[in-house]
Amino acid sequence: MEMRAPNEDPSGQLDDRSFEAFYRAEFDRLFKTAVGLVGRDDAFDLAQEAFARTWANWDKAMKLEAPIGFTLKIALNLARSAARRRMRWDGIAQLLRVQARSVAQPEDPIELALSGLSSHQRRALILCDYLGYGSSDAARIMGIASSTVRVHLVRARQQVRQRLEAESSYDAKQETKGNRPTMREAQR
Amino acid sequence: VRNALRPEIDRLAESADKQPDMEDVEARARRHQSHQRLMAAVVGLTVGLGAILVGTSVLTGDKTSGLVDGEPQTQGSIGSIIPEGQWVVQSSSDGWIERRGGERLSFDDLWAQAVSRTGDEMLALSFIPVTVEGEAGTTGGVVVTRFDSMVAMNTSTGATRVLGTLPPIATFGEPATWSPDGSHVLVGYGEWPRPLIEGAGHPGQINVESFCVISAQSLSRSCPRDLGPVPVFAWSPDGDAVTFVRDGVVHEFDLSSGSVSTLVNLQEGALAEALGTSVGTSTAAIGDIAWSPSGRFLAMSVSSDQFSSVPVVVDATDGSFRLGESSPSNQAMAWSPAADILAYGSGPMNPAGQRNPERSLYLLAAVSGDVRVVREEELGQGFFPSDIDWSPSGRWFAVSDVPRAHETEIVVIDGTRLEVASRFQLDSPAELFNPLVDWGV
Repeated sequence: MEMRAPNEDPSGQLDDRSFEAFYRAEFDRLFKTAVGLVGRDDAFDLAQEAFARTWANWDKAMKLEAPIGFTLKIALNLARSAARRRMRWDGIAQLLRVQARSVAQPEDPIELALSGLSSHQRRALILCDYLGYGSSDAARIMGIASSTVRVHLVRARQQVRQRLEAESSYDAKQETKGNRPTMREAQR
Repeated sequence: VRNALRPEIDRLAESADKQPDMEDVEARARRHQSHQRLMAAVVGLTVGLGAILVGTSVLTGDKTSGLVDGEPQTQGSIGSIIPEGQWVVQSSSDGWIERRGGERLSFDDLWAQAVSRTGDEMLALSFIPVTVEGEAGTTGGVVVTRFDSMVAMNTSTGATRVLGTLPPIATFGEPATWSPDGSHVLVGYGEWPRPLIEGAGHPGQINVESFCVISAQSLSRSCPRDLGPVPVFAWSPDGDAVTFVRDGVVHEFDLSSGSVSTLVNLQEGALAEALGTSVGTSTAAIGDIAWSPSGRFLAMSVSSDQFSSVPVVVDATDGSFRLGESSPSNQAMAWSPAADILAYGSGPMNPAGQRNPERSLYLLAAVSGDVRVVREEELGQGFFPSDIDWSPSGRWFAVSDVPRAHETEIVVIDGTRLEVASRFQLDSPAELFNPLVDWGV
């Protein structure tokens, strides 16, 4: 496939191949991060969009020591925007007293546990516990105080642990019944 | 959770079985670029129409639609929009200062903190990103950033002078602030178990978390290491002590004697009861503290594990307190420099315990307890307050929306009329995550 930068600059050729190499080298890591941020169903779309916007700004991103940081920031913003859109829609649905969304709850325990976190909690958890950033770095990326990151992180870990424990406990009780319950049922 | 998360997410991702698709990325990038061009055209058209309208109003002698000197405008650079003082804006790769009517001074590789009272210098941290191995049980390298030096930058020339440097086992931390008289600097301090060295093993989690006080003239430095984890700190009103938070209790560290005294305990008394009703206090944490300009009131952002946060203002003269509107997470707050008026953002939770997308801005007059609200219609639908800062005179305050991929907006509000005076978007919003560092002198 012929590779051309979408934002060809008349002042000079952009290094298209370096973007493709960057994309292929970093796809796996960013896709996995996206899975943590928005779940399996939406992760590919989010990762592709983040890479596309990086490419559209490749002249800036390529000058950075670690362009993946640029892409990661975009991915985090997109994840947050998606969460906000969901909240708005949920609020409208609540006013209209209709079912907010017909999207099925994730079945995987860890995915279900992550889906119950707020946007801030989820991003703090992924940045610190999945990507290995310290709270100060996560704070810089998220644009909030590091102390706030730590609060989100503690709450996120607590909530994920409680949900996983609830799931585990319920699973043990249900083993004899043979039917795997959803997390929502387990919490009733 | 920490140990389980990485393999679990990796497993989830592998089960999705997705492969790189370069053609899809290219198509998306082209759509994105088309959108950018369209938006640029719309903005250009709007500016052009604005110029025509202003020109027409001047020609016809109509002053009402013209721009008043000293009032914020709604088009142009930040320096031409702000009514007074100078802005400091920080992006992920660089930052800049822009004075009203002045030129922009850009700086690289520095992390802006605060402008001095005189406006001559700006505190900043220099940083080093270091790639090290992941922590035990994880794979792949991670980048850990260390704030190695504290500097003061001349706001006219951009020249810097170093106020202090740290060895690879330690890092400075945000925020860094000037003392009330401008003679000293207060900055966070952290230490890892092992030095942070490129290509070496992970240094571990920070196990000493405190603050340093640095003399801006002699550069002498004092960093108390035995206070316990101190994530939140601020100058006392007179600058003779540092107010800090440890385990939900507000203390004061006397700089001359080194003694520590307790100011506010969230776990005891009427305040504990009130917080229990408002946000729950099982793991109450204080996310931010700030003294009012008179030194009479201490504002705290208190949160709990019940997904709720509330601003608390304590009167230091008698221990009485006021609680602001609660919200699901820590909110920005800032005292007016001219009066004991606290601006903070907040929003109620919905019955399901989720964050309500509708937010409001509040002004709390600490002495009278009067509360005024900036309506959401003024801010714009979906506006999420991120940072708040007052102008040097206290007449205006600015609020930034949370940074987003395509738009990061700052709104300047008339603090008297509570009306939006101007709003504008910053450059390169995707890179911005601290859009409103300081509205300096």
